[in-house]
Amino acid sequence: MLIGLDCAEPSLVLERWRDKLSTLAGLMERGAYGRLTSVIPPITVPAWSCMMSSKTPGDLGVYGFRNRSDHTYDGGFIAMSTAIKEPRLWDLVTRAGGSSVVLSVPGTYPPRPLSGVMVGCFLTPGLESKYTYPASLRDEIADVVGEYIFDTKDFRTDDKDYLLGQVYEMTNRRFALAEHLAENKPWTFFAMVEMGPDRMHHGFWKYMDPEHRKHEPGNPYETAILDYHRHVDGLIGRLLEHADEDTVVFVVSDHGAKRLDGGIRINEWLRCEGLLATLAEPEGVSSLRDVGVDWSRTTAWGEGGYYARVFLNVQGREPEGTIPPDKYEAVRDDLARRIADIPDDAGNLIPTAVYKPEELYGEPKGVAPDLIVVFGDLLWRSVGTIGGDEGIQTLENDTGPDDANHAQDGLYIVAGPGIQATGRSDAHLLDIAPTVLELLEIEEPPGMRGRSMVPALAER
Amino acid sequence: MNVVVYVSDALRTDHLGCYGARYINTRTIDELAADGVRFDQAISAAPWTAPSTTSIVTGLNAHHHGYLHWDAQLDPTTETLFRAFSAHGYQVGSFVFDKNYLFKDLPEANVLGTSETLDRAFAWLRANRANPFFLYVHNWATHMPYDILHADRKDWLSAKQEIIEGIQSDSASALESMRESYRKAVERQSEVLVASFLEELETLGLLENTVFAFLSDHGESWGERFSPKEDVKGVYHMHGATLYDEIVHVQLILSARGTIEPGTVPAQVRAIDLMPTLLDLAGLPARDTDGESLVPLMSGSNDGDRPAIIAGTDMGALTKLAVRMPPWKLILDVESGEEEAYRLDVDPRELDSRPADAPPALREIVFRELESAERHELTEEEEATVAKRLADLGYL
Repeated sequence: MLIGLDCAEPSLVLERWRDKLSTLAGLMERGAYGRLTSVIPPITVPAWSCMMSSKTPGDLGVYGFRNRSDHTYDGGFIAMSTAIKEPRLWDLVTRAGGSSVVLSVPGTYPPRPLSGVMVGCFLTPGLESKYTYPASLRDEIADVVGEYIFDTKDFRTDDKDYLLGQVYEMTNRRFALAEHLAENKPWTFFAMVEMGPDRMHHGFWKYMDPEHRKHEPGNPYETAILDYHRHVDGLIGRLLEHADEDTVVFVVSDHGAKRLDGGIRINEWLRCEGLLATLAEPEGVSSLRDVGVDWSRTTAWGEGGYYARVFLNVQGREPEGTIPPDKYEAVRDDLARRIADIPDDAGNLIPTAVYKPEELYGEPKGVAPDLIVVFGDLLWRSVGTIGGDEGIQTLENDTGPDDANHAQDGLYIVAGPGIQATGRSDAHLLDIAPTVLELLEIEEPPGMRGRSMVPALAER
Repeated sequence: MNVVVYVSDALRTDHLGCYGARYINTRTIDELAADGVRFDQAISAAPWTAPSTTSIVTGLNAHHHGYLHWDAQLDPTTETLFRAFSAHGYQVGSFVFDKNYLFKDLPEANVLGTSETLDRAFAWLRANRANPFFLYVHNWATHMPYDILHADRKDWLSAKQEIIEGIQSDSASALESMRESYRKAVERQSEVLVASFLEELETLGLLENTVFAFLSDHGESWGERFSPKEDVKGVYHMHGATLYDEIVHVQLILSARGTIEPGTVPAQVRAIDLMPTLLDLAGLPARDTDGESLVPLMSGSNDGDRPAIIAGTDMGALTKLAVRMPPWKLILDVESGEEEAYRLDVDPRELDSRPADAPPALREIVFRELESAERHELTEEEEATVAKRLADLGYL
């Protein structure tokens, strides 16, 4: 049984709050736990699919939520389940003759057939979508929990009580469904992912963290994230009652969380550097799409989101490429250096990492970005907009309040038969799938990137 | 070389002498089989005409071509037998039971008239005897209610209703009289229709250089799988609703005097293998099909059973998907996720379902195939909803 907590942060769950989370602490006591280093980029899509397949984003050809499908300027797709071509754990369990319960694991809408049941993830458009496999499960869900909630609505609200209510309602219904499925469906592999921790971190971090630049001591939400974790800890405790004694339990997260200092407006920076030309002068904060790009005078452009994907405009590759192919590497190296030097709002250097996809992934599939940029050790995020008065650095998220960014390390806790109380040892997100396979005695397919943790966990 | 594909609608394989039937006179078809290659385990891609026939002429499994309803749309870029032969200078013609149904959206089939009598097909043969030709005949003589023109809708429908009521009545004599009409229809197919067709080919001197492919699109039943019998509400329940062997095990005979060496092929093959086989025999380039040429098997090589995928449909939707891989057949109900599995060598009538015992390999095939059937594109509206949510979350 694998319980995913999107964005659960190891320094909180494994350390600071350990004695407040009795269910998780009990698992840690009986088994093993540690940091779980995520893939780059450490974001929900593709990280959960990487964990479930033991493949890197480059293997999957999925570099974030929105991906380029070709080298044109507007050929893009949002990475849904169909973008994942590699087998994930439930596919391998199906092949081995077992069955699975897969509940809202990111990367599962539209749901795909398997031996067992699947409920679509947080990207399911709505309840009227065909979000279950088999189709008849949808009515059963309505009977059990009423309206199932895929994700929080109106996340960018200033009404924090409303947001809090939304997250709790979503989580409660998901765990109620999880208990129902765990009890009533046959499974050899059970996997669920709760999005609530991520939404709580993004919405409430500044109230908790005194180091956040907008923190106000004594605010009413100081313990909101902790309270939520205690609530989830209780729900996990109830869910575990539906697992028999032969069940190995994993609690995992796809990445952690840390405070957000601000955003770097990658396209605004490119524009100021003369590397990105627009068709018109932006009126206020705008998207590239709205203003239009003058491709014939553009060297590079970027995508926002939590990390920056930077694309070069190369002759013979992009429709109106400007960079001669033989200058590509020189331009890319130069750009990488300059991006790494973008300072924070006070003019201080920040520890920005700029990666070439082939350095991260070997031979990346699909259309990878030319550069992958993680600003300021993830204390800074990437923002895609241009125009307005803010300049390069923004302290206000342009789409509404956002308090936290993702941290590179998530966490894992594992306990159950065959797992000794080995205590703390850190691992990698890509190790989870081989570990689950070994525990289920299913042969590992060739090409998995991680290694089974079972040998280390089975001995003292 | 010429090609004739002759499909006898709803002809059960166990009603042919060459497949072991007794007391039914199918001597002409039996001789055709003796002179040609008889495939003992040929499996249809679907249990009723629209998807099954479309599989025959495209070489694609039904869940891939998606023509699961008479009003469905076949992707216009789909390669067909008709197009492949006509691209190489063949005259192409089709005669079907009713031009408002079969191939109505497939202009390249060149439907020229009815197959209920063969006169017009013979006229076409005479006119094209000097050309290489590809002729498709879909004959309805063995489809209930027998001997009534499909175009005579009123009589046809009332005769059909009579049969359905006969099944619903659950009376032994009504059932026996229906089955007797069916046996007579099979005899007429063999001894009148196929016999006169072969005679015509012989008269025209075409027997030597014409590959004659004889098969059915599916079998038939009379409510045996239904209880109560009132659940048999139409012709759909006589064959379209189930994927058991009496429906999906079809006959397949390939004959060309002097060209094809007589023989039998015991291994499982699929109706979707016919298109690549005919292209292979005619020396035409292979097309992108799910099926594969049977020519190697006809010359004695045995590469084992080929897994057969069978699609069950209802009102145009894919409702079941089965994989038949001797000795097992696994049937997945796509809506409920429930499985049936039969060990065909010890349970040939498929009465004792044992899904827990089915080999995982079958399950793997069925899920892989099912996944390949699903069309997953988001609607624009869905995509906008998702994009908005992602933007709200700060991901875009």
